[in-house]
Amino acid sequence: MRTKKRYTLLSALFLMLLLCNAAAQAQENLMIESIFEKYGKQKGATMVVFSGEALKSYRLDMYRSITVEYDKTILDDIQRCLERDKKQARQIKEVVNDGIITSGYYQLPEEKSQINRYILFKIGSDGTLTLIYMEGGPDSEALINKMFIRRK
Amino acid sequence: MITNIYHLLENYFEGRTSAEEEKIIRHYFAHNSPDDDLKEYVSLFRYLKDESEAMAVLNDIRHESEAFVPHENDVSVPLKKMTARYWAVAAVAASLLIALVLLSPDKQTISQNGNYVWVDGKRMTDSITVRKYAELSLEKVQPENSIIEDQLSFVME
Repeated sequence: MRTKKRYTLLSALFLMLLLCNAAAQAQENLMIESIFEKYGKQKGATMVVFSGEALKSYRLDMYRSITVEYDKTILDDIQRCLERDKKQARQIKEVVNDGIITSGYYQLPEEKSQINRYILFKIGSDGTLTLIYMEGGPDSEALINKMFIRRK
Repeated sequence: MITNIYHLLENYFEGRTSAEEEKIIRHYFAHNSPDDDLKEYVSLFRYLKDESEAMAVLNDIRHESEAFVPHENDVSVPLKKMTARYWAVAAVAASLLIALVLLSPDKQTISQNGNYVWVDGKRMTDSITVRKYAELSLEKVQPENSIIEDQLSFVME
């Protein structure tokens, strides 16, 4: 009887831990990930995935970008993702015209793993939509801020 | 006793004897040698005695078997143990399955590693090409002007 109770309790605890982990993972995942998945490999789009040594000069660990020709559907999709993901941001700089984010810079820190995450977006003067996601250690913050917050 | 037996027999055949009196009659014929005029009843009451004993034994057997028949709402202890064990095993199996699904690495995440570029649906891995497109995309998001400075200068005009 005691063994059976212990068995059941362990199973319940294990299940609870799994569910908590799943919930935590869901929070960390960003909605903009869907933009890269949906539009990255289609015609008219350019998607870059860059990591490793080449990013050392920028003090980054990971770089991912997508540039597409202007499309209302894609723009609306990106806007929805940005509205949702920027809620996690601790630093925001964005320009909104007629209710549309025309440019945005968002810094989302990861407290546990000491990784800073950055989202950048802009509607270019040539009509292209560019969305960038970057990850870097604590020393990336100063450089990235210098590049995108202050005027060159 | 003999007079009594005649009286009991008379009442028996008239249907006026009690169960106890019938028992006395059966006992008399089972353990005594009756007179000649009563001998014709010997086989009858010995049969009845045997019959009543048989019925008593049968009733005992019936009562004992009713005591072992499980009721609808009762579950025997071994069956309860098996059911509980089954649910415990099912819970562990379900947990393992969830773990496999959640922790499986097949879903691509935004933190995917590698160096490549997709241009118009075509994948290229040349490092120089990848770097070139990365720099191009970075230039596209550079701020052209300081929006704050622009708006302040507009207000000051």
